[in-house]
Amino acid sequence: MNTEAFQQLIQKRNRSKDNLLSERTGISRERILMLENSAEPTLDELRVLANFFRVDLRDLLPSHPRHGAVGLLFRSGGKSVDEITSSALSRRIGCSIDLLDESAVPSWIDRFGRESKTYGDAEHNAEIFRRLFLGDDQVSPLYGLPDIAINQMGILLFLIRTDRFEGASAYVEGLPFIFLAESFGPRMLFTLAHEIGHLIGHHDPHQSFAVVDSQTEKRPQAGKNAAEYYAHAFASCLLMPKRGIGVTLKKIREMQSGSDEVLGDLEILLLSRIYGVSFYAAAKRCEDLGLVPKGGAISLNEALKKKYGSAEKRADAANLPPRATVRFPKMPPALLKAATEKVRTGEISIGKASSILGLSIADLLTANAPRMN
Amino acid sequence: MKVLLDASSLINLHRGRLLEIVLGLTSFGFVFYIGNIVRDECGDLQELLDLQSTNGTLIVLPANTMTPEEFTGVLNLYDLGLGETECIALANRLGLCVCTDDKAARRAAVKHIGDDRVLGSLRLVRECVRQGLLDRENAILAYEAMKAGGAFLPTIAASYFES
Repeated sequence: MNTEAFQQLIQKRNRSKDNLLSERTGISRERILMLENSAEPTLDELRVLANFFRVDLRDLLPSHPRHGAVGLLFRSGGKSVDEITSSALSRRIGCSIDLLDESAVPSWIDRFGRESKTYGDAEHNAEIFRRLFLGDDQVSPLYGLPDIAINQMGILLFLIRTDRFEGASAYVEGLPFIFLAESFGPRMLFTLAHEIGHLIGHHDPHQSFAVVDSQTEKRPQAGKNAAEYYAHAFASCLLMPKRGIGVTLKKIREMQSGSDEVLGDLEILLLSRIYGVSFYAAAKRCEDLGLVPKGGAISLNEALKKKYGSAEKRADAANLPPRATVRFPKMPPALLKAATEKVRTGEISIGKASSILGLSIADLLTANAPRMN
Repeated sequence: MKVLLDASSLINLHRGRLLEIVLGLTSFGFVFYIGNIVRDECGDLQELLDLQSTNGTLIVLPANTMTPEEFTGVLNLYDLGLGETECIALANRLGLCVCTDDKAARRAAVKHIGDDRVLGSLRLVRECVRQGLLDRENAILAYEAMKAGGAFLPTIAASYFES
């Protein structure tokens, strides 16, 4: 058993919900306390507890030695990463590498400045990104970022059902990985851009590297965490290009018959819906561009929460146009293709493939169904 | 014959609309089992499996039939999925046959418990034809439905269900 992971799971549980835990798992409260005090769990207890806490049973069992090495990368990333997260991510990475027969350092990597640290560097790299992947469109929203990440950048992008982190990225054996926690769409888009920022700005593709972000929207001070500051700035500049913000705000103002007042919450909300980001992310970008006073983003966000419950409720109440839907594939298509081929030849089993891909066995079988034209 | 089914075979049989018919083999000396991990892996099928368990045509093996160490030993040996591993480990411990429609799991099961105790869902379908639970034409249609549902099944001749 992975004792460290199991103990983290059981120790960090919400003790006020022990009755629910006991009811749902069939494990008595007395037994839960015994497990907390290092009693050895049975296989079935591990199974029902994994189901209850929505973790993979594999992550409570000893990890494969190779995957353990990837786990060390996450733990050496300078942030506190729990054993279950580290095990889950390193297992996916290790198994993906096993599935994909060959890998090469992505060709786009040398096109960006990698010693990037400042907001200006982030703005510059975001412009390069749009030049490389969007035909130099420095205006439009970037709803297609998941598609660009997967198909043009060759990033292995996974969606994970977890509340343990918002995003994670890694370079292992020349392969770029991004993991996104399933959540509010705009938040996921920002997290994706944030993790791409890590891959572009700070990960050396010639050396394995991994980082887990518990949250990606609040920006730390540059002096406190340069890598996180840069990744946040990159995401902000990439999703809300300076020229695009200018053009869009001009149009919004024209529709409102040319007001020259200070930027208001509704205009920022409209910007946030147009660019597919949260209100806070849009307000922060406006703050960075000098369109909102320093500290204005957080104050406005808090004020909207207090008055309306949330910025989104305010936007809905004002009948702003709904958000566009951003589609995130559940797993990397290249990996699905490789996995089904290897299941067919018997190199890996259906159960193993479903675990790597994060798909149920039924869904994996469906993915193998012949396409009807 | 005592048969422990894995998730791939259960889902394939269900997609071929044959699960209940195959479980009808209990009237002809067959006993069918599943483990708890396999039950978890079956997702939407769980309700039907529980119903069959209540009807007595399917036995869900009691919890803790094996230790975590025993399970991990087999997991590390063959690097399969959790349900496939559970099947092989339980079959080994309880002297059961394994039914799996997965090539890698089948190879591992043959190595672990022997060729004579490993079969696929199509063998069970053929047994249904032999016992008169199903006619040959419907067996072929079911096979085609399983393939259309994405089953990783071998190509078989129509005569397979005659022998």
